[in-house]
Amino acid sequence: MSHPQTTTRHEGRPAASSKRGRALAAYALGAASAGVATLLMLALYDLFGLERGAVPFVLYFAAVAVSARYLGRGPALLTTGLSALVANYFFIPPFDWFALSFSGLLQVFVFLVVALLIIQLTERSRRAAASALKSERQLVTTLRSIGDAVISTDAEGRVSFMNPVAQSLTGWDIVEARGRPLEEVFRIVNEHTRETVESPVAKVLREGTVVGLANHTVLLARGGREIPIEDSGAPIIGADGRTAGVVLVFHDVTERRRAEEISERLAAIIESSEDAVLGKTLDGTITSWNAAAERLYGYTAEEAVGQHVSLIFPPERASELDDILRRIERGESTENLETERVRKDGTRHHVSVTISPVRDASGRITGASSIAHDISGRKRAEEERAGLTRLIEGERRRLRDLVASVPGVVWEAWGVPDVRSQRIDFVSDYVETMLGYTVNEWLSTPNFWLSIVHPDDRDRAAREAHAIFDSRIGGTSEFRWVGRDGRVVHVEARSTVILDERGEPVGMRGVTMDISARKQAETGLRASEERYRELAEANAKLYARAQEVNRAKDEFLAVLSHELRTPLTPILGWTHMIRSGRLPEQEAQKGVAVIEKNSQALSRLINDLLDMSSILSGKMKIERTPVELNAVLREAAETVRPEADRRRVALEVETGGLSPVVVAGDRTRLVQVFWNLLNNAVKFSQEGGRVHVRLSGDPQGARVEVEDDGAGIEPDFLPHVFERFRQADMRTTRVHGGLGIGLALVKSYVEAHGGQVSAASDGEGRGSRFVVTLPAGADGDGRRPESARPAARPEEHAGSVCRVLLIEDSRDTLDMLRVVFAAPGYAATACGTPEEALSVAESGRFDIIVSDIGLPRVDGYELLGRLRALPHLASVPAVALTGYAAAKDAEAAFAAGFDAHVPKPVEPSALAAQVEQLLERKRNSP
Amino acid sequence: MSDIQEQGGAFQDGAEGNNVCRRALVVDDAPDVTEMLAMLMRFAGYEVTMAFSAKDALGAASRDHFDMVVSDIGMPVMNGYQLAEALRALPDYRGVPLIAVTGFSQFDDRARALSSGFDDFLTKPINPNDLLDVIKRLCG
Repeated sequence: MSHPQTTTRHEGRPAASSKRGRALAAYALGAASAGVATLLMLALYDLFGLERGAVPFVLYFAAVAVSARYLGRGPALLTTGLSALVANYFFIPPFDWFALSFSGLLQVFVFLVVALLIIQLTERSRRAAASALKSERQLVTTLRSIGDAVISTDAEGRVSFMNPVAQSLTGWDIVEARGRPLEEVFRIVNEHTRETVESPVAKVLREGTVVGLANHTVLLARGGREIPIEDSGAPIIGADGRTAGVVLVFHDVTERRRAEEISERLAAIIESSEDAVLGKTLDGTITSWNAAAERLYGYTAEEAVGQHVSLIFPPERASELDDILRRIERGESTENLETERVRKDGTRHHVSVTISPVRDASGRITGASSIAHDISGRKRAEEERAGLTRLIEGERRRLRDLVASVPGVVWEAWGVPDVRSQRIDFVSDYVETMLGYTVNEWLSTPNFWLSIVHPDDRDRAAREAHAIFDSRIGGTSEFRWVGRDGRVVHVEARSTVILDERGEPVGMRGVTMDISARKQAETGLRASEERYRELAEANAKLYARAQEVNRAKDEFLAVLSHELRTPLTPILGWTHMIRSGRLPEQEAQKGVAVIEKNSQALSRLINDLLDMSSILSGKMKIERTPVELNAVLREAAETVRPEADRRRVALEVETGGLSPVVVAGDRTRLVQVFWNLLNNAVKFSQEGGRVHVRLSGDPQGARVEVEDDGAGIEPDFLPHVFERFRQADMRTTRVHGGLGIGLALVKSYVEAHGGQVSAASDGEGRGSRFVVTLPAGADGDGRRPESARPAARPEEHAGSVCRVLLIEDSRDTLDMLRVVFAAPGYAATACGTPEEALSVAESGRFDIIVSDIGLPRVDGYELLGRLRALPHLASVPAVALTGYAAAKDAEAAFAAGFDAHVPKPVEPSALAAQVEQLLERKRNSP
Repeated sequence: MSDIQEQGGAFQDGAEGNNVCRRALVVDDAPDVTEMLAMLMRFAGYEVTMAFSAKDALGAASRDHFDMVVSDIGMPVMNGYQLAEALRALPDYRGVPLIAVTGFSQFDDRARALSSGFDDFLTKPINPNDLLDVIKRLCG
């Protein structure tokens, strides 16, 4: 019977020591039970005196059964083995340990079979009991530990069991509640109607099926607490198939309700969210899709849910999707990812997405939620802002570059510019280069700019800056700055005024340029400008002069025309009338006189022109012979005297006594010179004026002054009086006639004689003075008398030279007369005026007088009277030259004392004959 | 000589049968010219008054009535143009023939003379017949 032992031994498996201990103890007890049965058998045998071999195994069955029941199969088998061995020794003949008789063998065999059966059955029963116990224990444990409340009742509906949750929810202790009707413990009403709800137990008992509770059931707990619950009931079916009771399971749904409410609220929030919210599984399948997502992506929830989320991913962002999903798997969120998504219509837009993993209650990641909002607008705004920023940056850079390249100070300042409160806000770096002061010095010192202005410019610069500020517009100011090293920098500040929103000036900004170089250039430029200006002025003067000469020439031609045509008019007119033969003799004579007079005027005019012409062409010839200026002046004076008398101008000739002043020259020209000067003097005198001629001489030469108190000469015109064709008044209404070549001739003649002429006047209306200086004759004797000439003249009869006094106001006639008496035997003194004649006659001795009648101021009749009044001329014969050759005139002449009269035009031979006749008569008379 | 005779005839024909145009005023600052013109016109039958300045002429014209005025242009103080304008301003002289006789040729043109009020314009030295023709024409 080694097998059971072996088996027993094998029972002791390596295990925890206590377990092994318990197993060993069980086996020990198994062995002990066999021992106890043996002892009891022995006692029984003794007690009953039984023979060994009778009912050898009775008690051993009990031992096996006990072991099997309480110690398990292993110990029971040990007990069985030991029992068979011990019984074989003690109670089966031959009572040896191992020797067996057939009957004994049979008995042992039966014993073993029965024992094994016992063990087997006992084991099964024991296992079933253990299993039942375990099951019951487990059930109780479960009921105790589950979150749901469990109440069971018996078939009558009385409470038999309540687990702790049920006790807690209902407020009933199981001890109190057991045996009470369920309705008492488990009171339920409808949440809304407050009506008692039918006990599920009754329904289960009635229908024998599982029933669920209606929703919105509220458990009224002991103590008044109300708990929303959900429950169900199930019948407990007994072994007999009848309903043995009801088990009621329910749980508190307060939390779930709250969770559901939260969930609902969340769902509503999500649904109404402006952000697109979608849920997806870990593999990217879309599980939820809110309204905003519909709006954002264009797909309806129906279209989107179940699709893969790549639906809304741009193809090139597939890797982004992979990345997101990987991160989700790792439990990482992706927050505010700015990316692009595709709408159903294919358009793309910018979104900001936050993707978070979604976990179940156990914390396992089951999917992801994705919240996206449209940032296209923001993107656009950002792009615009970025564009603006770039623009501004560009502008700023440009400005900086520009400012850097400006060779001047770019600046900005706030406040009134010339008070200490001014704050300089900005100056460009160039200021250091320009003036040596640092930008910091500029910015830290109020009104710094003014403090370095040159002291001479400071007040003005301050004033100008203030004025520019007040202008509200801007302006320019120039001044000098003094640099740190004392260098003076010319600058030009161009400023713009900064206005506030009310249009009030608050500051200025501008550029202050170094203009030193320009200033230098300007100085040079000014010099050249000055030169150019002078040149231009000189040019302009030349041009003006040329214009003036031209104009003077034109005017001259007009005047010439007038001067020539005027005398021609009476000449032609009278000629016409005379030729008609119808004029009475007297009128014809008068006409002839007028013709003669005007012819002479024309002759003079033409001579002047020819002289002028020869002067201009350089062909003027001056014959130099000794000329007595006294006589020249007298002749000139007498020539103009008629006109002077007519205009009541006093003509005074002061010849400086009797000593003649002689120069070497051309007498005719000299007469012209003084005639012109006197003629002008008279012409420009007022009525009642006075013309004074003064002659003085010395060994060096002669000086003649012609002075008047007439119109005078304007200072402007004074330098031009000797220019030809120049008259101060060339207008039609000019008071004074003439060609305007008189003074030009004067100057030419005087200069041809080596002399000078000058004009002076104190101004208009204050008279004028002409001074002629002439050098002495070539022989140096300014005082050699001209009268020496007759002496030098060859004379046939020295004592019989006839001295003739010629008085004729027409110079040409006078010249003609002079020619007549230039013949040998005559010495003629020609006088152009009565005054000259009277002057000459005072000291002169004459043998005969030949006088014109029509003389200025003093006519021939009167003159003769005055000459005859002189004792030495009282008996000198006189011949009258009459222009008016009428008998009446002749009579008048005779009456006046003339001895003979010769009509004009004078026939020289007739005159000579007449003179000779008179001389003869005188010689013959006593 | 026949020419002269005829011209002489012209002198006398001037005022014949023309009592409207008989009295003439001759103005020139050059007396020789004034006198010659006066003589010429007297022989042509006109009654002539001489003036030696424009002022004198204006005075004479306002004292007496003249049927025509022959005037120089270039005269001192007041020239012929001014005289013509002044005369035209007098009611009596609005329609009286005014004849300019001038030695100026360049500055004084016919147009200015006519605009001043002269009816005709003769340049010195005048041909006496031309003057008489002009007078006849204007008075006719």
